[in-house]
Amino acid sequence: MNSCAVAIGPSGAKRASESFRRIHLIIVFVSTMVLSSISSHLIHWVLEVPNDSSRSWSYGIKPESDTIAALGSSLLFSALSTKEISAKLSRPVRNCWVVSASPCELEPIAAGCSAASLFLIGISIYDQNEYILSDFRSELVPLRQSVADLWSSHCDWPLAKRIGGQYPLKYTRIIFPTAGRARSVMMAIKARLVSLAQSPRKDVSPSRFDARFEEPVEDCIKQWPKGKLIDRIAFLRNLCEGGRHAFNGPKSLALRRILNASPKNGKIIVVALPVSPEYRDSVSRMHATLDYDNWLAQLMISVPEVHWIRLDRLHALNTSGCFYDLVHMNAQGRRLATDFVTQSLEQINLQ
Amino acid sequence: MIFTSFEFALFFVAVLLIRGVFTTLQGEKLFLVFASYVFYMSWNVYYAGLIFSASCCDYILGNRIAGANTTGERRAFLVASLVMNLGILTYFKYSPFIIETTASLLSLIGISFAQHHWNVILPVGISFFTFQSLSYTIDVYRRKITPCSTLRDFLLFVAFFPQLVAGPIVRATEFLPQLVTRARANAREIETGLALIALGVVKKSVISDQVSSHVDVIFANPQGFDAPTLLLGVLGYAVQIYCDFSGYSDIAIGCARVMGYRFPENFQMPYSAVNITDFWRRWHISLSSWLRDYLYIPLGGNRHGVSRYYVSLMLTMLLGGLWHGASWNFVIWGGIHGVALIAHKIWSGWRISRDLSSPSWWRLLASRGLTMGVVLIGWIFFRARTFSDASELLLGLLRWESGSAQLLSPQILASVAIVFVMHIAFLNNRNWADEIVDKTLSIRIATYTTLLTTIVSFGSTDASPFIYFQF
Repeated sequence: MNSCAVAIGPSGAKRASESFRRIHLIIVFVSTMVLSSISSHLIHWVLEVPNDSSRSWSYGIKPESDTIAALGSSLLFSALSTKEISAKLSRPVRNCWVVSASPCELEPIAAGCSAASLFLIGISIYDQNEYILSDFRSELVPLRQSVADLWSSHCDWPLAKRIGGQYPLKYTRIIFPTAGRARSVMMAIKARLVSLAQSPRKDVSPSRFDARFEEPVEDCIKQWPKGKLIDRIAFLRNLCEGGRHAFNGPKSLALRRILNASPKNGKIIVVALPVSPEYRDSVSRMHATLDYDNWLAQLMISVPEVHWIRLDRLHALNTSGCFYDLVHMNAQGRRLATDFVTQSLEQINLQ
Repeated sequence: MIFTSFEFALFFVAVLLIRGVFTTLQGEKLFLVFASYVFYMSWNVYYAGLIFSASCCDYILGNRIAGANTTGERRAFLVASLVMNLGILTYFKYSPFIIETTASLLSLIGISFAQHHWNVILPVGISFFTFQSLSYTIDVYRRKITPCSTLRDFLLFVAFFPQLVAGPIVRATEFLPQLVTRARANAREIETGLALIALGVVKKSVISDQVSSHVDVIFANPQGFDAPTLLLGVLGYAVQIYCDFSGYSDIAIGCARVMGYRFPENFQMPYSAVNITDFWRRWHISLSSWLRDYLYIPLGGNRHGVSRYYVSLMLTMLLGGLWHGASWNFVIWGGIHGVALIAHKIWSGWRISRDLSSPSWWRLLASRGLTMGVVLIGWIFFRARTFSDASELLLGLLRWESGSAQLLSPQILASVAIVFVMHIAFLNNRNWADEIVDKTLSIRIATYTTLLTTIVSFGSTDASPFIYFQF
């Protein structure tokens, strides 16, 4: 043993120790990656973290050629009971929902609804704000399309980085499915804790539990404690980089493309959805609301063949009593909105 | 390019790979200078010119100081360096503050003048690189080091990307000797570096970024919330700023370590401090030691009687406060710490304190509680937008009124619990990353897996800038 050590010498022993250490480092690195990936998959599976970028369901029966395709975010489906619309108009409705959907994410989905003869698309000042990004954008919008839209809309660099940054995350999620989903993970933990305590859950979006938005929410934003309201306003302001609003980026381009394709793809009706007065007062504020109105007015002029239903102009819906949070409508708002849209659809010559 | 962003990860990996291509030390250092300037230009292209020119000036002045024949000449070159560095700092950072304060003072005697809007963007990390550069010329003047032999080495010392925008403030005596030979990290150092990076990302993305929005809400409207919420907001900010800044330092030290360079420690469990002096030995160590060596000691330190000692201490803390930002709130923050340090020195001199010096759990608890109280009051002024906001918050806490809006954020509660438990559990001057690499394979794997799982499950993806970037 001693003779061997002497033969190797101190530098040789150091080299051997270093190579041993390197092997250890590789083992540690690989094991850490594998175990962390397993842990991430386990967390994702146990907590049932939602990972479906889009969901579709239908009401009514065939003929498919007479189908109405309703496309939008949770704002559209909390505002409208498409089941009721389908029943009243005796037409099948195919609903396509994407989390925080904007026209960018709806565009590929709209292209897939070839059987539909009428498209009902929901937009709002919240969904159209370029600074609010859907968590699932990279899974639905091809990178090439995103780059082209960013290029032609001359987006500012921080926003371009935010959008571009979603694509590496898409691939990271193959190994770590919880990556970039901290909020969903925390919401899922909270839901688990609440269900363990068996108390009624009130402030979690119903979308997680009512996948088809069939049960309208009775709660009202007016009942919120002041602290919660301030906190949620701050959260939404953070979501859009401190309350920034812009309506002339990739979302706007995607909406124009959808609307311009209407003659070949079928008739299009755009439903402009309202947001709560609290959102307008504290998040979008006066200048962004004016910008949005101007942008919408220009768009309406540029695509005259498209029909518009301006729920955001409906006085009865512009009260806090119609919302269960800052942007989603409650049962009262949903009743009013559904009735108004149904009447409007009946008036519009659908054929 | 924020440390917790994808682009920095790509940048860092690219730097590591390209650096390996260079066969000569000179080429490698030149590449690191280039990479560091690219890193800085990702913030602002034009201000890279500012660092370059300031570095060139200090390099020349350092050589002139060393080559000067008389003390007068040496002093003149040192003064030139001081004027240049402090002039840059004053122009970019303090001009609006000076103009505003002057206007307010003049208005008291009835003179008013129209203030022009100061439209100069503050260069990122200006306070850090000017202090670092300044320490070099002062050390050359004091003959602590020989001047840097090449401009390339000096440019790298000032602009080396891991520490460029928010420290730690690395001294020339610490860094320049590391440039003599090719820096290559061994497996142990790489593991230590990676562990530090992972720990830093957890602190920043998982803790600091998750509590920041709630803390911002409370500090934005202090009069709107009840006392428990305000207390939670202040505790949340204490956790946020610690995790934000120490997280940045951990990533900076970790990146340097992976590349084979060593940076000084910047934090050592500051909230476990038993007194305010102890706190300053643990908080932003590179700044506090800089202020001690280049400000407090030249001001006289404790060598010229008690009153001079206290004046030096107070001045150091006030200027240290002002270093953080051009606002009276930072001066007040420095003042609070200055008063607390003086009070602690007086208390330490009393006999009763020596009688009470034997450790017992309740004395330890009381001293920690008192220290934490002072630190928290300081943070109120540090974070609040205005003096009146800080006063409102402080009064709200003192009145302890309920009935206003309540916001008991679970993120803040969990983060405060985690950070303070860690500070209580790791009381000693431990260097976690250096210790963990000597543990068994299974402990290391379990620890790193926990860190990585925490990052990928709870980490924020919106990489927000570090708080200290604004300083």
